[in-house]
Amino acid sequence: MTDATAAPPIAKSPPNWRRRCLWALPVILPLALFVQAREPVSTWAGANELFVERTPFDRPATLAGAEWRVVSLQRVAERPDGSAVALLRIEAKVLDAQAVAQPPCRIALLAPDGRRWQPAFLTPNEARRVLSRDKDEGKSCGPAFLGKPPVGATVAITESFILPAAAFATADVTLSLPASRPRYLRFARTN
Amino acid sequence: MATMAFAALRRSLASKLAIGIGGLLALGLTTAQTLREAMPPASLPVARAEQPIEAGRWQLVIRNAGLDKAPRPDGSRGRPGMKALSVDLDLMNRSSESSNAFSRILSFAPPIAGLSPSPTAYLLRDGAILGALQPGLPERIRMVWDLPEAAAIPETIRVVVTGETFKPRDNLLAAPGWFNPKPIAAVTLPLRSESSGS
Amino acid sequence: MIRILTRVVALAIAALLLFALQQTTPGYSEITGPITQQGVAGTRINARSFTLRVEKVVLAERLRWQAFGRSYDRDTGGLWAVALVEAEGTPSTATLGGAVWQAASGLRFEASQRAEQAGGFLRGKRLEPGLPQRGLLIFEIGRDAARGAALLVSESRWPRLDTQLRIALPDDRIEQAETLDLDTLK
Repeated sequence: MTDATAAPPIAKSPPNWRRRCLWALPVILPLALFVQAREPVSTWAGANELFVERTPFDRPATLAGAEWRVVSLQRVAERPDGSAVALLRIEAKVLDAQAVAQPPCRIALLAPDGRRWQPAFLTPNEARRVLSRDKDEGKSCGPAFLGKPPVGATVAITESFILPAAAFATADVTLSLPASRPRYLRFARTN
Repeated sequence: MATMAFAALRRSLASKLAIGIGGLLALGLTTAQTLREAMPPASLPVARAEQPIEAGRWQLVIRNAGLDKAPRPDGSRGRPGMKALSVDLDLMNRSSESSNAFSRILSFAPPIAGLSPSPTAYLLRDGAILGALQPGLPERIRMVWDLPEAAAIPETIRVVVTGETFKPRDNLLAAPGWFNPKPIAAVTLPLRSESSGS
Repeated sequence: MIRILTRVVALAIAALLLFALQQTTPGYSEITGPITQQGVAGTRINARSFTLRVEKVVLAERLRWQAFGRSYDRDTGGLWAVALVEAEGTPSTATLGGAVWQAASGLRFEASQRAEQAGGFLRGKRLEPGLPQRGLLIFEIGRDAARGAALLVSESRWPRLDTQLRIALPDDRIEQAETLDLDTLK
């Protein structure tokens, strides 16, 4: 019995840096992508409405420094081609003047199947008649916030929509501001 | 010993020359280019009215020029205290897309003092402001410049036609476009002046 | 000797391949340009933000219509091509910003601004979801651009990474007229 079967000397082989670096790649590359993408992703998220906050239709809700309340959503006219003209009145009580004053707010009517109607650019004649009858100024969101209302002031916003008459009954009101996106408010009519 | 040194000197000179030849060539080329640009420019070819001129995207036939205070083709009048210098021409779009880039094809050399920087173009067929011209369809249009009533105008004016060249792929977006405007021809026109009123 | 030769040949083939790849790369504006979607006249075609159906095309020498209490009469050196279409914004409100008549020869005629006051002119009008709108797209084209053409319709005037519908116009959907009164076309 010799020492021929003695254990070989434990010589530590030098670390294989090439292999270590290769194993580190799947960690480093996603990390670099994540660091690079943070800014464009946050810009994209700030432009889209991703996270919903549902509230009942008749209760106020807070978003982006103001307390919003739907005053009325009424169907002012039905046109012979099956479309309806809807008039939406919203009130906002300012809690944080800075956050609210950033234009523009995005108000839309959202149907349960995902269709969205944006407010009409020019107030339709039927809505204009109702507004003048009620002695309402009828300011839409941008002009209403132009004067930079102070904290505690109440701002009245009016928007009109043209949508199919059949869709009016189930349309919810969505609202978002640049300060709050990607979160947005959805005043749900049906539960 | 001396011949070896001389041979070494010759070799080093040759290698220095070989290294420096690129720089010398570049210097020579830029000098030649500067000299060529400093030379007086070649004179513009002279064209006549009623003669078709190809200016890049457009083909034009200049008809006449006039100076008057009459109402514009769409019925509007200029601002008070201003008169209008108008040039009538037939314009055809030679490119393959509709285009409305015709505000800079005509200019005046020598320049006329007080002239508004860009003209308004009217489509004489409709009597309205010209929108865009479709490819291959010639139209008679009138370009109108404003100038103050008191400004002096010579009897004949020299209109310079500017044209661009087509690049199938530009340097920024690899998209086709018309670039590098340069004068193509000059036309001398008598100025048809009308007495005040229509 | 053979080994050197094979190496040279392999290099030459690789160079040729790379050259072919470089020459056939589409330019930046093509890569980020419109995404063409083919369609047939008469069927409803879905783009990303709107749907469109081309009903018919009328070629005319003169157009006539009434708007804002005035009557308009327009003639042309070429031909008027009036496309009667039905469009709807889906799933959200949309407008048609780009309408081009692409002739068989490749010439592109944009929708004419001379006829913008016509009541049914559809470019720029809001299309609400659930409310399909019938309207007109009016082009001024050369006489030889009438047959074998296609309509290119998109939401923005120069679509970038957005759908552009390419609707071929067959001859059986094209009508001729001497003078077309736009108010009777609806």
